[in-house]
Amino acid sequence: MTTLKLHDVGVMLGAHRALDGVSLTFEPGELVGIMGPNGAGKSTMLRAAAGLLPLTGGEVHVRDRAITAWQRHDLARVVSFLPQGGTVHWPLTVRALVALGRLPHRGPFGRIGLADETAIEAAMAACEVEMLADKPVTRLSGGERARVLLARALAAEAPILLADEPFAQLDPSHQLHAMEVLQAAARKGTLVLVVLHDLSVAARFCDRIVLLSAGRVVADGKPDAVLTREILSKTFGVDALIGVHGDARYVVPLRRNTGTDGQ
Amino acid sequence: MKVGGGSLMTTLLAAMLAAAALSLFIGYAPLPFSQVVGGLFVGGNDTASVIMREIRLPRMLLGLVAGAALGTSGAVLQGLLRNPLAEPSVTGVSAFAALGAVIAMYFGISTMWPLALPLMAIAGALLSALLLFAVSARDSGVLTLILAGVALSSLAGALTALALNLAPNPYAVSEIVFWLLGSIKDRSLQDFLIAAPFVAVGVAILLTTGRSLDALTLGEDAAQSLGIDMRALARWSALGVALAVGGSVAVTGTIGFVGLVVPHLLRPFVGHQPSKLLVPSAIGAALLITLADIGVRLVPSRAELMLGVFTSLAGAPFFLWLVMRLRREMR
Repeated sequence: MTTLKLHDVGVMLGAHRALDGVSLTFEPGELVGIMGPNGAGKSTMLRAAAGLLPLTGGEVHVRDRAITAWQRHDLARVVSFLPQGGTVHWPLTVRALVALGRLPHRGPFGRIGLADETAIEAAMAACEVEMLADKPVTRLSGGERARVLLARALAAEAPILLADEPFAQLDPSHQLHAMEVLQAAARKGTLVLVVLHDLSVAARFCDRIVLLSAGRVVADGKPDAVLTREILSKTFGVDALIGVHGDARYVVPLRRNTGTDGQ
Repeated sequence: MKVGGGSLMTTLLAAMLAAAALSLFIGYAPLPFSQVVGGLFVGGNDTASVIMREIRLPRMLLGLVAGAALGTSGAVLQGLLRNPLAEPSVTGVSAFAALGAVIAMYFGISTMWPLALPLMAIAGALLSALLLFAVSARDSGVLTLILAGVALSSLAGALTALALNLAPNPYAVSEIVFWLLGSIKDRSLQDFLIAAPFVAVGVAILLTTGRSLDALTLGEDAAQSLGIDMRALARWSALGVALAVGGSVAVTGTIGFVGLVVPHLLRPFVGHQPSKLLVPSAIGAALLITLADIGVRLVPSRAELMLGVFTSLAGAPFFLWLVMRLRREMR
């Protein structure tokens, strides 16, 4: 079964064509890195896939059904979305915040049940935030907050997880850990789409990388097929150092490549 | 600071009932305990019965109704706009409700058809709530909200002033002006019966928004991805606020800042969770209005201090303090 399919998707944000003819198919269990220069349309693609944007063209299908045909409440159990920025408006405790991820599973007046508790505990354990459970979110460091929000998104136990730059504020150790968490989710059959900028982290963890530029897909495939010197030079306008250390690939942007304009 | 939701609710409820009972014993005609109880329950046409049934009982009941309306509306507006400054009077919703009521009074519609008063007030409140959400839906910043509130309040104020300006009858003007100040004294049981059903339906609607407000803690995109229909939520909340605030303002006039202060004070006790704040805010505001109304009866002034004047005197400085504190936190 195809989990998520974008067919010829176009999105206009005002007069700006943010996505243009994007067609992609995703299967369960994939960990996909969504990459590209700033303004390439990565966030827009994720929001379109989550059904948060009106499309100006094309269709998004979730589990072989047009996203517009889904009831929002049913869709919420299938697609978990972690927006960029990590906004939290009230100083809820960490546990209460993670519990919000279970909202789609609860009935109109449903209390938190045993399955919910289990999912909340598991998500907090996976993101290593159990010891913060009773702290107000506003007292956390940026990195702690990012992990708590990831736990919130995981707690939904949705088969599709869309995460928009969740690790911008994480230190290297926690970034690796967070990628391990996403990888573990993917190994259990979750389709994970994650927007990220770190080329080495993407090369190391992702099963597949979709490279966007100016609203179009410019490359799509395994990391070693997408993160090549040639493609990086053309897309990001950088010369990159690419190598293998032990079993880990690394991709390091070395200098700006003034020969191309980044398009 | 977090206490069990149950014990907070029990405490508030007990305090509210105690204050409501106490309010029955306080008034300008000193009545002994036996006459208060007798007047309420035994009946008859003696002075004590008339005072109890036609003055103190409606006053007490209206205090509870207005409090429930304002407290719940404040808590929902704050959750919906993710802004601790949102509140019926600050956002101009009360002023528009008052405008609707003034129009009903001014044209004498309300004397021909008593239901016109709450219905016009509800229409005014609904209009302003929809305008408010349209302005501050995308940008829920403190400044946007305050400016939208200032704009809506000024507009309602200007139109109300226009109505007063053109009023043919100076007696009607002074009556309307006094009514605008906000009070629950000298209201009849009929006034209560006019307001209560609208407020009850409005509050019931507002109480269903809890889960959506919780989800909104994470912002609009995350809330939508959690299954919340934002537009439906905004419309539903506007309707609930309009029914509650419109129904109450139609009878009491504008009683400001109660919906601001109460949710703010109670929020730490419910772990800041918007859904858990709704019922306590309703009870807490009913308690606060009842206490304030006992307060105005005890203040030894020549003319009784109007309840709305009293709450504004206490609430406006609180609002200013809150604005200053938020500015520090957000910049």
